[in-house]
Amino acid sequence: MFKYIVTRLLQAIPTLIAVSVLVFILINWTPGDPIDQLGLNNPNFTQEDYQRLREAYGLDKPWLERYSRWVWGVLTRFDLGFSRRYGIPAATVIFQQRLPNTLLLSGAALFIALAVAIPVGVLSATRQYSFFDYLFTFINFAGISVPVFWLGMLLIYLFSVQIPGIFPAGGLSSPEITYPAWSEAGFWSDWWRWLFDRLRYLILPAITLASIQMAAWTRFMRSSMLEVMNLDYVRTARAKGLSEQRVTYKHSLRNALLPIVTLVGLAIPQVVNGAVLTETVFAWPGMGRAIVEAILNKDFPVAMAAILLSAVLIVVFNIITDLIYALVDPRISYS
Amino acid sequence: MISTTAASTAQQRRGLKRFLRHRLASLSIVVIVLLVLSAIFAAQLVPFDYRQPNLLELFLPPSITHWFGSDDLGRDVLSRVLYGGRVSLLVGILAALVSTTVGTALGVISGYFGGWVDNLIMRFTDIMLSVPTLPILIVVGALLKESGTPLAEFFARFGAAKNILAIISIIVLFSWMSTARLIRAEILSLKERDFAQAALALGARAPRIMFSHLVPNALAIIIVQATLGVGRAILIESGLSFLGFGIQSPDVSWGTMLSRAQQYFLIAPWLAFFPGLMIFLTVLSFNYIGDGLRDALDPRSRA
Repeated sequence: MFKYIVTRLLQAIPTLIAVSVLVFILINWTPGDPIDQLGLNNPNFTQEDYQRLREAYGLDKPWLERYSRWVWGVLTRFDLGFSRRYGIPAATVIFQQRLPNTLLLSGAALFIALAVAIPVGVLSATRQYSFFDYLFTFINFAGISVPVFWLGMLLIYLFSVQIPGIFPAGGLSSPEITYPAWSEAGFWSDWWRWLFDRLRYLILPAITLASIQMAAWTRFMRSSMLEVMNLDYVRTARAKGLSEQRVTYKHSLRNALLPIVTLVGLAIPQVVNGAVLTETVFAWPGMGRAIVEAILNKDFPVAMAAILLSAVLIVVFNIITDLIYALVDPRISYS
Repeated sequence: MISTTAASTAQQRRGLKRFLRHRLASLSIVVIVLLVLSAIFAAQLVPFDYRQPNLLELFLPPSITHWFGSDDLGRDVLSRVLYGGRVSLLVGILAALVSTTVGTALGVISGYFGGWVDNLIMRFTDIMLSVPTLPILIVVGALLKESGTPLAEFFARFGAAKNILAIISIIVLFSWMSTARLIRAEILSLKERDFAQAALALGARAPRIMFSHLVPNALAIIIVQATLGVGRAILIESGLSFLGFGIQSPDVSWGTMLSRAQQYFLIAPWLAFFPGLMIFLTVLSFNYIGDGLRDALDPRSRA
């Protein structure tokens, strides 16, 4: 098992190198470097100053040398560069300000997707070709076909424009409601108020981001369940005289759930893509929004850090998924 | 499978029957034909010039004269939706065709030769599958927008079509992987079958076996992948254009319309509603057609 983990981690290295080299080269092709921005507001800024600063920051070096330096800085000092826009380290922007929001949104979305997909998939399978089954097959097709950002806009229109006051049209939380300080008297009521406020802002974007996975997983759950329901041991269970409910939930469902585990890992690239669009529609200050803003503002260290972190997340979740799969399915071993 | 012997025409007829039994897929064919026709004949159909601003008719809600309303510059939304359909459909269909071709070629080569070739291609596929696609597409899209960058200069030589060609190329770059994997798996099993072994024994060369014996037998998967690919490509294009890194003005696609519509969303929701509905209908139809084709061409794989 340990050997397997090490192999997988080693295999992840080429992916991360490929992504970082690709993004580094692409960003270096974009016109405008940090020194340009300094010169814009300073009339005394001469061409010599420009050259000197470029040399001082090593920007005149070939890209491979700068890339190696950047990688070295990341690996040894966790130095992802400085955000030009915010004037603070890019690592702070990404890890402290943006990543937690994205994890909250994606986590909520994956939770909603699973919470809907499993029961609906089971019901569709146990009542194959019923009205219910047809209805949800249609909804699934709609779910994989709808552009997420348009769905987000529709939800905003329906639930925050038409019915004002419950779901805000965007943002992370109300500015006046902050996490309460500890005091004997009003802490818990303030705490509930805070939680309720966060949930109000979270629900619409989370449903939007969940839409693709919800649909895809329901379909998968349905076919996984149908497959298991025809296996011999399920027939045996039924022949023993177990109740239909017991057969469905104890014998079929448990085994049909196994392949779902792999889907969660495989969905991460889609979630990253979906998060970029969802966060843009809902002005959610997460990593996806950070990438779009950073590219628009030419804040390249932040863009670089955010994209690389997305790649790391995808790779890590893939490995975790495979390990969990081995844990829950005794037929698979990675020894 | 594509020869015209009696047996195979009977098989084709059975396939057609199975496809027609999938009612939603048949309906989807009608929808797509109508959409394609309306895109081709957009110039004849539209009541207004899609680029002509009209300051007297800003933000008109849908009405008899402007079926889909008018936008922030007073342009007719229906006309823009029809012209936008040209770009969105063209990008979707071409990107799907090219990426299916690339994916098929790599999958066939990988599956047929095996060994280090297979290893190389499949490792590369794995890497591409764990790349954060949209963020990287945004970076590429930003590069294409700037004049003077190597990428922008490369595409500048294509003149008016540069925008569309650039988008198609970058979509293809990140969407061939699933086809490559599926085809590889299919080829692995096909190449052990008698007909492939017979061709090999008769002395056929590798390219001939791959492209006249194996590929035609994997055609069902290829066609289904291409159909589903159109929907995926349209979604990528619209997402990228929505963020402002895709199709650029003066060209118009459904995604760029939605991008503009977002600013005026509260006062003029119809600006967002119709282009989005078109994307949804188109992608839904291609997905249903793909599903119907899978039932018709490859009945064993029915879920």
